[in-house]
Amino acid sequence: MQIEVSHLVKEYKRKKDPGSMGKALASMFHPQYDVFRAVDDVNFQIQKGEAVGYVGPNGSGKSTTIKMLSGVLTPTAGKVLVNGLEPSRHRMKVNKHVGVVFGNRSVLWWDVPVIESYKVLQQLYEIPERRFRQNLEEFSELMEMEQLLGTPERQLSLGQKMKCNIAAAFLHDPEIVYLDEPTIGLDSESKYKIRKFIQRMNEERRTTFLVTSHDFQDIESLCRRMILINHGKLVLDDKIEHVRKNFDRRKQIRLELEHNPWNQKTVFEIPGVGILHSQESELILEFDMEENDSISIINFISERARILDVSINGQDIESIIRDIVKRDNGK
Amino acid sequence: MRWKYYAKLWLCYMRIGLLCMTQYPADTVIWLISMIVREACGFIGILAVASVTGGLGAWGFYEICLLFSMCAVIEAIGQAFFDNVWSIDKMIRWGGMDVFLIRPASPFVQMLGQVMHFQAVLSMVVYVGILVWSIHGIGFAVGTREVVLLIEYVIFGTVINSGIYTIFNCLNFWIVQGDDIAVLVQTCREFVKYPLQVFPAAIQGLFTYILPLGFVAYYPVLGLLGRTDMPVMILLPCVAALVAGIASVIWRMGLKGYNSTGT
Repeated sequence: MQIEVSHLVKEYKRKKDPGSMGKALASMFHPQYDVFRAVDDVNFQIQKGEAVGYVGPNGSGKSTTIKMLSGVLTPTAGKVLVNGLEPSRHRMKVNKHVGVVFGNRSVLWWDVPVIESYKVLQQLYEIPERRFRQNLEEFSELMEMEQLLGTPERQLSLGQKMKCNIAAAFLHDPEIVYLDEPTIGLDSESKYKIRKFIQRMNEERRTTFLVTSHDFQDIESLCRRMILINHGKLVLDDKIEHVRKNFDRRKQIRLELEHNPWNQKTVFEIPGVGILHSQESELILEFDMEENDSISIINFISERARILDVSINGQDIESIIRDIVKRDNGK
Repeated sequence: MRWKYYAKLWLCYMRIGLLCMTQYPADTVIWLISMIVREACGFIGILAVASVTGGLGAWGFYEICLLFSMCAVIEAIGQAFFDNVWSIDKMIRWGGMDVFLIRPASPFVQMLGQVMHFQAVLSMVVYVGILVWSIHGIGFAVGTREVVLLIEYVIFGTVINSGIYTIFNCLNFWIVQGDDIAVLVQTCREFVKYPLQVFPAAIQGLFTYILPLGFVAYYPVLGLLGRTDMPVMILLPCVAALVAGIASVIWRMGLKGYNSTGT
């Protein structure tokens, strides 16, 4: 196993909100802390060459986990092993073969041409000149960034900046790359290019990826497997297709009717079928595949109205995850 | 420590620093002027008083100039290469340290290399000019002892000066928003531009034993002028080692406790 995480816990101390002015003054000398568990007993393993999506709502502990994997933070309890080493103890040794992309932070110098920043990275990671040239050539071709290399970062657009930052994380041929929100705020064209690039690195170089993103298209297009955490706890760790099969039980039927008998109504006659939307000629129903089937619902409707058009939709992965999180919060 | 690796890395950072300076020529000129004015203001007043009254205590005009320039040279070196210690505070609050920690090199070296001000090297040329002029004005012979002392002063004075800044900026690891302490230290530093002898014993003691900024320029000047029985040449490396040691321990402790910003 390339990455092994067992019973991982990270607690933050946060200063308590003092409440009143007097208490605020007192807390300058005697600060009161709340203990906050950002990561709570998380276990997973990742093999070489895997691409794993690490998803969860804001503040669920995704970034904290990545920071522990890269040795930035020391776990409160539990163990992390990357290539058999503990990152918090052997940070530099582990990170020599690791790349990190921060979607919200640039690692390049603002004022100098991008290539100059890359040259510093070349020395930092001691990349041989030939390898450095080869990588630069390949990356600039893949992401169409040749002209960008001579431009200072301050003159680049957000998408161009991200491309340059992603390329920067791959220059030293890392075995593992952590991508923290790699496409945040980008247009679809840039997103597409970046995803293509990451896919290619995964396929050709067998680079292991752990991707956190709020954009589920990122996860779907890049990863086969998904780990979902909520409030620091692992909720789900499975192949994305399994997740879809197991959880995609709710379907929606959209019907166009000549005359809608359920116009303005909110209750449907068949138990377990809900009306999401109902207008003069349009009706949208939602039901659970395990309780009902679409044929009998459509038959039921066709006895009462003339159907002009029908479409049936399953859930996309985003709403599946939203449902899982909602259920988990309700526990 | 891999000296060769870090020396090469440092050259890369210097290259970036030079490129940054050439990007904004007008800014460079303004920076240069404002830094020289910052060092010189206040001092010029004292100089005026000294030239009217013929000196400051036992200190003559050129001797005051020598002290001032030696103090300014060290500050300029600090501004050129070690100025980013003043950003430790911001880096902690915005999680900027993460970027250095995920790389296979010392985060301290990376932090220093991130920002260089080559403008300060230019202002240093001015101060070195004043230094030479003052030595000429005082008229003492520069032999081997003086040269050794000057070399020691440049190296260890820089270590002491920037080490003290590092220590107080590192306190931000524990007291987030503790920039104020380091600014206080820098303000106190104004004292050591002047002969410590003219101040009360408490202030002399403070800058000798507690905040050894006196060793940045004042004691080396005394050594050069032969006005002290203290073994300045031995004391300088000792104090520098002590300051560097404390700074290194505090930095390491801070890194261990650095809990990022949790975003």
